[in-house]
Amino acid sequence: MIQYFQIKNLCKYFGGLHAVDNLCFSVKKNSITGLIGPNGAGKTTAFNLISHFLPRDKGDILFQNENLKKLPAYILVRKGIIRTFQQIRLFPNLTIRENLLLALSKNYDGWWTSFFPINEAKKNEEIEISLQKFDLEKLIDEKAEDLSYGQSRIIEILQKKLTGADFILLDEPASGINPTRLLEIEKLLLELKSNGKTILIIEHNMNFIMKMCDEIIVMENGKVLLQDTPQAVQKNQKVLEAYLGKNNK
Amino acid sequence: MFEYILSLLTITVILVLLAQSYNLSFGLTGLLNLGHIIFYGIGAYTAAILNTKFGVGFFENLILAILITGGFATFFGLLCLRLSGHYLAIATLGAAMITSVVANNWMSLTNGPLGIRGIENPIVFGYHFDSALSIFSLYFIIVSFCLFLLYKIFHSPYGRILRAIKDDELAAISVGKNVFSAKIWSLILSASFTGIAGVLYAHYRLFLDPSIFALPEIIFAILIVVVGGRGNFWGCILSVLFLQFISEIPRFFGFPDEIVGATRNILFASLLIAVMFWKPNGLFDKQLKKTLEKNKK
Ligand SMILES: Nc1ncnc2c1ncn2[C@@H]1O[C@H](COP(=O)(O)OP(=O)(O)OP(=O)(O)O)[C@@H](O)[C@H]1O
Ligand SMILES: [Mg+2]
Repeated sequence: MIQYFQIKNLCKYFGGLHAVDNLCFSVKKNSITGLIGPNGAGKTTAFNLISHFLPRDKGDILFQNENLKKLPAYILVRKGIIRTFQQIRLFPNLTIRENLLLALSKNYDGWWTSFFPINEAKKNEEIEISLQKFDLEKLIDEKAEDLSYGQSRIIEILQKKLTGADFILLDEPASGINPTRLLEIEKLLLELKSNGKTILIIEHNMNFIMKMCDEIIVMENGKVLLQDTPQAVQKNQKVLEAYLGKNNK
Repeated sequence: MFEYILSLLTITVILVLLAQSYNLSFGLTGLLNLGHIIFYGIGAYTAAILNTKFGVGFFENLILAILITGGFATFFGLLCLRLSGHYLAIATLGAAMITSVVANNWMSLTNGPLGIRGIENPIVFGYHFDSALSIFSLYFIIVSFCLFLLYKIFHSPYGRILRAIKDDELAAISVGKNVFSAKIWSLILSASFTGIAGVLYAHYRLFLDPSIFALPEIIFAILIVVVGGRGNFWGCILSVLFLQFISEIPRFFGFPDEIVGATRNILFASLLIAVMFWKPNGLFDKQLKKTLEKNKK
C-alpha cells in the first residue's frame, strides 16, 4: 500500500554524531501523529530534514506518491508540507495582520504585485475571521513582538494553517503554554484534522500527546523505537526505559 | 540667490531619488549592500559616456541606464547575495573599490581622474532644458514619478515579503517565500532607480569624475537611510531635507569651500555613529510618534 507520507532510511550525521540514523516511519493521511523521545533523540533534526531546511546525508522522503529529491525548502511549502520551529518564529516587527497575510499568498508575490495586488480585501476578511475564533482580532494591528508567548504560538499555527498546506509539522506546540491556551491549541488542531489535514507533532507533554494522537512514533538515538497507538506506547517497557534510563526502573 | 537655491533644490531632488532607491534594498530588505553607490556611478557614467561620445540623448540614456544598472545588479546579486550580513557588506564595499579603480584607470573610456566634460543638459522632444528652473521642474516631475512607483513597491505584498525577509529569513522560507529571488529583485529594482538618479546627476552637473565613488559619498548614502530609519519611506525623504539643510549651514557663516567640505564629512560621520547608537530606528521613527501619543493620554 502506498502511504500518504513516508521516510525511508533517513540519515543525518553531525561529525561523528548520528543525529538521525536510518530513520523509517510513515504517517497516515488525515491523522494526528505524535513524535516523541528523550532530549537529543533527533526529533527536530528529523523535521529539518523532512522540511528540507537541512540537507540529508541519505534516505528517501515520499509524500503523496512523490519521491522528494533535494529541493529548496520554500518549494516544500508549495507542495503542501509546512513546519513550525521549536522556538517560535514569527516576523517580530510585522503586525499580526501582515504575518498572516504573508501566509495567505502561498505562492511567491513578485514585484509586479506592487502594481496589481490581488484580492487584498478578501484576504483581510479571511484573516479577521480566523482571529475571531480565538478572540485575538483586537490584536490584529499589533506587532508580533508585543504578543504573549501563548498568543504567538496560536498565531504561528494559524499562519501555517492559512498557507493551506496539507501536512503540518509542529515542533513542541504545547511547551510552556498555560492550560487554557492549550485547550485552544487542541481545538485548532482538531479543526485542522476535521478539514482533512494531516498533522505530525513533536511534544514532551505526554497528557497532550496521549489525548490528541491517533498514533505515536517513539524515537531514541536517531532511530524509531516503536510506532503504535497511544495506549500501547504508554504500556511499553522499552519506552519507559528510553525515557527514564535503564537504571532508574 | 535664486539660482543658488534652485541648484540646491535640484541636487536635493536627485539625492531623494538616490536615497529612496537605496532604502528599498538596504532599508526595506535589510541587505547590507554598503557599496550601492556603484549603481549611481554606473548610471552617471553611462549617461556621460554615451552622451559625449555617441550623442545619445537624455531619455535614451535613462532607459539604457536602467538596463545597464539592472544588468549589473543581476550579476552582482547572483554573485554576492548568497553571502549574508557582514560578508555581503565587505563584498559590496570591495566592489565599490573595484569600480572606483576602473573609473580612475580606464582612460580611454572614462578619461580617468580628469573626468568627462561637456555633457549636455537634457533635451526632451526638442526642448532644451538649460535654465535652472526648467531643469529643476523636469527633475521634480521625473523623481516624483519614480517615488510614486517606489511608494507602491514599499506598500505592496512584495514589499511585505521584503520586510519579512529583513525580520527573519528562515521564517520567510517557512511560509513558502522564494527569498533569494525576492532579494535579487529588490536589488535590481533598487539599482535601476539609483541608475536613473545617476543619469539625472550627470545631465545636471555636465561634468563627471570618479569622486562619485568615493568613501564620503558612500557614507552619505548610508547616513541618509539610517537617519531616516531603515525602510521608512517618508523618514527617508525628511532625512535628505534635514541633512541637506545642516550641510549648508556652514556656508551661511561664510566658511571657505574646503572647510565646508571637511566639516561636513566629520559632522556626517559622527552623526552616523550617534544615530546608530541612540536611535537605531532613525530620527523619524513611527514608534516615537506612538510613545508621544501614549504619554499625552
Ligand atoms: N546543527 C547541528 N550541529 C551539530 N549537532 C547538532 C545540530 N543540530 C542538532 N544537533 C545534535 O543532534 C542531536 C539531536 O538533536 P535534535 O535537536 O534533533 O534533538 P531533539 O530530539 O529535537 O531534542 P529536544 O527534545 O531537546 O528538542 C543532539 O545531540 C544535538 O546536539
Ligand atoms: Mg527538538
